[in-house]
Amino acid sequence: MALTARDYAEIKQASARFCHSIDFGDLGGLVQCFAPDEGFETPADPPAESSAPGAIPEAYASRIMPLRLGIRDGKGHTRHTPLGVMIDGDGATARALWSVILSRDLGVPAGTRRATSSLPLGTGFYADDLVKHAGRWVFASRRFFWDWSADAGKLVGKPLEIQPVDAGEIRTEMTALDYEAIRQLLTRCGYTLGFEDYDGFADCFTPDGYYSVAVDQEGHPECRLRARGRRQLWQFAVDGTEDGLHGHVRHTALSPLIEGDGRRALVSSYALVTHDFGGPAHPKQRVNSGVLFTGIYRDEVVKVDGRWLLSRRTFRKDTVSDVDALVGKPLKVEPFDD
Amino acid sequence: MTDPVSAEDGAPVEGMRAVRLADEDLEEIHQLLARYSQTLDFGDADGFASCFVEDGVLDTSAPEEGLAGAHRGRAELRRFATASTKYTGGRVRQSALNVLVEGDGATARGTSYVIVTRAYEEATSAHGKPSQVTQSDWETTGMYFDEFVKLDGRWLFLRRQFRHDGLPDVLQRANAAVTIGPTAGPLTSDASGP
Repeated sequence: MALTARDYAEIKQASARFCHSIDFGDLGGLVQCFAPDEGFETPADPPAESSAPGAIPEAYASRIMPLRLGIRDGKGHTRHTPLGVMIDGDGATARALWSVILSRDLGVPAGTRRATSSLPLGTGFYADDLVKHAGRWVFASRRFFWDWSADAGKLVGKPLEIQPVDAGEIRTEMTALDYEAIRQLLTRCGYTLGFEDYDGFADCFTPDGYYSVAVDQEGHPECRLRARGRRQLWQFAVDGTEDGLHGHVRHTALSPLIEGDGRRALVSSYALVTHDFGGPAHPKQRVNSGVLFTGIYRDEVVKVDGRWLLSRRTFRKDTVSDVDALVGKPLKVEPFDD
Repeated sequence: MTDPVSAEDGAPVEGMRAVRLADEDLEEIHQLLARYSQTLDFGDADGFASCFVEDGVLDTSAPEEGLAGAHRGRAELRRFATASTKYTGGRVRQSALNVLVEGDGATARGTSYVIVTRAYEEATSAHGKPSQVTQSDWETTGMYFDEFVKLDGRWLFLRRQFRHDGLPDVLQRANAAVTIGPTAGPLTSDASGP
């Protein structure tokens, strides 16, 4: 039995509760996120460990955070924030892959009013197995790995195992499952680009799909790139990853605003592109990932045989003229003109 | 509004609540969160104000003049959005993530994380790697604490609190069961009403 919109929603609520619980030291709530006798697997170095529920908080609070990041956990200063997720499964079990950014606030700065700032400490992934236990989705296992780890490196160039969402037949209006399928499509498109799965990237588009990009570099005029059709899209992905940061770039689409009719939809989202620095150069290096650039995705997506696909994707870096032209205007969700 | 989830022995599990909102309601609330961000970040003051009920309140810890404190009603909310655009220049992007929502078909509450980035004209050195440059950077993080209401079939903000991470309102939630929704007590500096 395929996962329902309710399943997806509850799995995402479970993950959100996990993160809130860890960050704010709700250790009882953290344990309740897991199935009995299952646990959380920590990154290697210190050696990987899998803990029973009762040991999870202690392991996390006392070992992982201080050793890995030099920060105190459970005091309300740390944020584990998933940026996007892909989930597949049946009505009883599921698996999920989340891109995650870890950050820490720096407290209230002396001599100023109330604004604070924070640092992105690192990026990585949660790889989850979930089960439905007593009518509730819980983690059978949750494993975290950093973007610069060997586990992440093994995924580069490999096809993504998690299957796209089957959103069913075309209805006369958007269903909750349609919205979820579109969000996971955006995540899949970013993941396949970052992990250099070129076929998987091209599969996110219709056969005649179109992608246009407008970027700028300091001191240079805006540059526009365009690709249409599977072959050009495939080549676009190849060219786009030849930047010396192989396998270390993560593309995510945040705040997706979706307007559609069940057959076709328009999407506006924020692009956040991060990269890791290859791992700590020394034990006290706290900041291990950073923002590469931000921008705006404006997409057209269509539903084909139960699957939502990109028919037109337009990306504009936040500093180009097309984005500036949006400021002060009524929000209109539509692709950028070329 | 919601029922505690029952454990196998039938006892309620502290702090764990079921999602009782309909799928469509949950989705509309997520879309409202996205619309809030995109209208505010691009200075669509009318679109931003229409995310709230007529007498809706935004209560923010932003320190800048014109942004700080509570903003009640759509006229004040429009002024807030216009003032915000003067500071951000349309280059700030804020996104709600890790969204926890609970409610019924008429009202709901939410708690979420916020990531804020800013794009710059000139490239800057990325943290820790001077050789790598970026034209966007991490601005800050915080939390939203929300109350929603469904009016005429549309979910709107009744009240939204934004707090920067590291402030007492946020830190006071540490070492306790996770709660969803606004912090109890008075608004930051609400001079316009109760």
